[in-house]
Amino acid sequence: MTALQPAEKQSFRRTQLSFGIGARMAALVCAMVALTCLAGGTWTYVNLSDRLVEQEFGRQRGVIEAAAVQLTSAVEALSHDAAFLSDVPAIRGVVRSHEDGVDPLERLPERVWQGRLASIFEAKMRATPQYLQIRLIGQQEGGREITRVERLEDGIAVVVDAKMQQKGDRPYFQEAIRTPRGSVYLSDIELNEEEGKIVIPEIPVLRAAGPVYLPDGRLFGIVVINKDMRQRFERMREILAGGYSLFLFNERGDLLMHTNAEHLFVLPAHSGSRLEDRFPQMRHALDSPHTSHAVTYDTASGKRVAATLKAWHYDPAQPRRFYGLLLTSSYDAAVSASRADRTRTVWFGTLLMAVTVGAVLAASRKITRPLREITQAVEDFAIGKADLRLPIAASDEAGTLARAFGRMSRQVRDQQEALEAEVVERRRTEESLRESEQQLRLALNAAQAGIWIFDPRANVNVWDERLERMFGLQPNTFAGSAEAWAQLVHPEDRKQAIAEIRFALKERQLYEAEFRAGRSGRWRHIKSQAVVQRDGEGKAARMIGVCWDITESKRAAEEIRQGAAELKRKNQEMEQFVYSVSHDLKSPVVTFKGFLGILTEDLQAGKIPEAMESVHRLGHAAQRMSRLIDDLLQFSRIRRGANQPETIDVADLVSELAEEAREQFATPQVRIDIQDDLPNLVADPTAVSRLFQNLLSNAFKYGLGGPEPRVEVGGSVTGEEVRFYVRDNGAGIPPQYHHKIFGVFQRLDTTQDGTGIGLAVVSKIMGVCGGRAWVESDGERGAAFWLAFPLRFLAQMPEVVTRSSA
Amino acid sequence: MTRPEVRFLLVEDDDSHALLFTRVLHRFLGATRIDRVGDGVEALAYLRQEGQYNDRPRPDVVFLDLKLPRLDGLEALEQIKNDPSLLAIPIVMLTTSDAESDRATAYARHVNSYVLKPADFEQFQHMVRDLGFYWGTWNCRPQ
Repeated sequence: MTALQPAEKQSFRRTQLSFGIGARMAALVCAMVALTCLAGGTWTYVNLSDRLVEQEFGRQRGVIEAAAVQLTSAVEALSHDAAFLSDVPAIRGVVRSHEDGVDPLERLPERVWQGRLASIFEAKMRATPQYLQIRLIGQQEGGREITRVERLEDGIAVVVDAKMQQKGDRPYFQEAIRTPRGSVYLSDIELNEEEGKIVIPEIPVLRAAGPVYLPDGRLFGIVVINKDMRQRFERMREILAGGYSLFLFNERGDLLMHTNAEHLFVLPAHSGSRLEDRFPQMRHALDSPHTSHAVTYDTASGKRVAATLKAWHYDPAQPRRFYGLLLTSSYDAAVSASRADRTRTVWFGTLLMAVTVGAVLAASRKITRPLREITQAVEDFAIGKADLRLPIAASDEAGTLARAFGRMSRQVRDQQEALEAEVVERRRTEESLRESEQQLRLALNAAQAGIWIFDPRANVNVWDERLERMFGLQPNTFAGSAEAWAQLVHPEDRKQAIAEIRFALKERQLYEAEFRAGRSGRWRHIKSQAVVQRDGEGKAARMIGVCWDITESKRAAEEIRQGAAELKRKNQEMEQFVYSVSHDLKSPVVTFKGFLGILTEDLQAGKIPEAMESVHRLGHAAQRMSRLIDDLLQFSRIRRGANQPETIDVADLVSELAEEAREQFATPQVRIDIQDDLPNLVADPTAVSRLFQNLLSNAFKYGLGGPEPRVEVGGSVTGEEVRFYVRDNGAGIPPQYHHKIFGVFQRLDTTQDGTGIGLAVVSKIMGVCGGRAWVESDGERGAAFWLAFPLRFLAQMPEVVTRSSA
Repeated sequence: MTRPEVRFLLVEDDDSHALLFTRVLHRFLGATRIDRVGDGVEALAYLRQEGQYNDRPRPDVVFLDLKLPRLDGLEALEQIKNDPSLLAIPIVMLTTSDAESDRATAYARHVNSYVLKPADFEQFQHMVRDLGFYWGTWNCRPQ
């Protein structure tokens, strides 16, 4: 481990400043406290408002209840009075006397009963100041009033006959006479009318009508009480606190009255002011009159309002009739208490936050102090300070960390010391390696060797420039793979070379191979040697090798080998020649000595003719000996460059030699055909002359057994050779002797004079000049001896060369 | 001991040599018939009793020169020893060549004897006499 680099150290410190653990912890805790306060405050505020509104609705229901009690008690009292008055004895008297004017039961005139009834009505009115009128209205005569008592400004008056009014067309009358037996009709609360006109001041009036029956059960008429509702409404107003407004509707939704703490407004039933117009939010409330409805809504002026509507059933005879009581109050006033709560909550939360931040900062500083100490120690360690102050006594995680870091730092220091020692050692090794490498380079230079390294697993093949040049590549153009190498190897050697590499990779430590490589036409013989390095599992990890160009030494070795082979062949030839010659030279010696002995014997015995025979034989043997030696000399003198080459007109030469042969062998009958345009040669004239001389004398000597003897000479230029032939039409030469006849002293026919050197000379001359000689014959119809010269012997003459047609 | 006439075949291309050999042999072995042919081809024809040789009996021994026109002595030897009807005939190489290769080849081809022609006439006579007695008198061969 090495010390931190300066750049790393800086970034380390910067991070420490901006995002200390303590600061991060404080920020986190503060954020959590703030979030909690905000959530709690909001929840409390919303909840409190809801509860306050509910409370307000409850209060409203209580107020409505109280108002309804006022209204109901008024209606019930009125209804009760109407039922009572319609059945008093005076009524019955009036009913009984009304038809005839006299009561048939008690014999009293109707006037008396009317008077009594009027006094009862008067007493009732006096007892009840809110009653405005009490009347008995008969059904007969269009609903004419029979008895009427009414309240005037200055007291109660009984109205006499002349002022009685027809009431039969009035709605309340029509409704009342249809009311079922035993029940009381109650009218709407309407403004009082007199003669069809609303009386000023406007007085809200509630009418109650009790039916009156004849003794036979038929309806006689009704008793009607008009009640002034102002007092009741005032009482309802008094119930209301400030800010409350009460609205009274009938079951059809018509606004009858509305009031607040200060004012009371009464409206005619058909004024057109309706519930759905004033309170659109409540327009469906009357569809279900048995429940109370509570809503909050915003008015057009932007004020928020809480409203409760409750229906009040007042007519037992008609259950569908009811009054709707609607109460409104200010929503803001209702929830004002919760606003105060909210302010308090904010203040409290802020205080809590401040305390929390302080506490958390203090705590985090305490918690992170060991960490800061460790940080300082790490930085000290990084710059290499020896004594590190670590909070190793702490019992928490920081203490564990500090102890661990303490151990680690000691280990690191130990390892660092070991590493430094190793670095020194390695530097020393490197130097010695470098020296070795220089020596190796010198050695490689001296050996003209190229280096290669091959990694078989990655298929990477690295060559130095010398190796690339050796393989015929430009420097740095080798593709660097096993395949690239194989492509450069000669196709005939490739398979073997690849197999040898594979074999070495598989199971050898050393690799050695030879192959040809490079480019076509410039193949180099390369010797390659390598060491195979293996990994722990024994697999080949790398081959490191050198290559030498051994083309020159190979060529030299090949030349030596060929030279040696040639020498051996020549030696064998020579040996054979010597044996052959020794045999042929010894033969005359045997003959000499044999016939000398016989000659001696014959002379001693006096046999002269026999002695002469022996002498003759001796002479013959001597002559043969002489010829053999001449021929041998001639044969042995054949060598390259014996004479200066000259241009030879072959046709001329051959015709001259043929004529000589014909004379020599005294065979004028032989026909000689020589091709006119024989190719001309540039060669040793003596050698060429001897060639044709030998062939022609052969032909004359052995090839003229037929009836029309003929010798033919031809020639042509083929692709690579200049060829001539000498053909006879004699007995021919069987194929098995074709090779043999070119040997020294080899003869097929011993009847003719000769040593058998002629064709050996021909063969040797052709061999010396790089050409060849052979015979063509089927052994029956003549023989053709061929000479083939290399093309360089052809004379460059401007003449047409044609093929022989013979 | 009565015995039939001894028959020799001499294969020799050199007339003088043939004459010398015949003359010396007759000097020691009177009742001996010597036939002579000039080369290997003729020798095979003789032994196989072909052509003009159809009335010639098998010789008791063949003296075969090494160097002969057409078919030379070693080639003729090979053909004789490869012919089941001829291989029993004793063949004596009679030559002036003392080349080791010739001797080795001859023995490899199952020659029966290999004899050098001495240049000295006295020795020549001894050689011919010994050969004649040996092959003509002492040597026994199947009928």
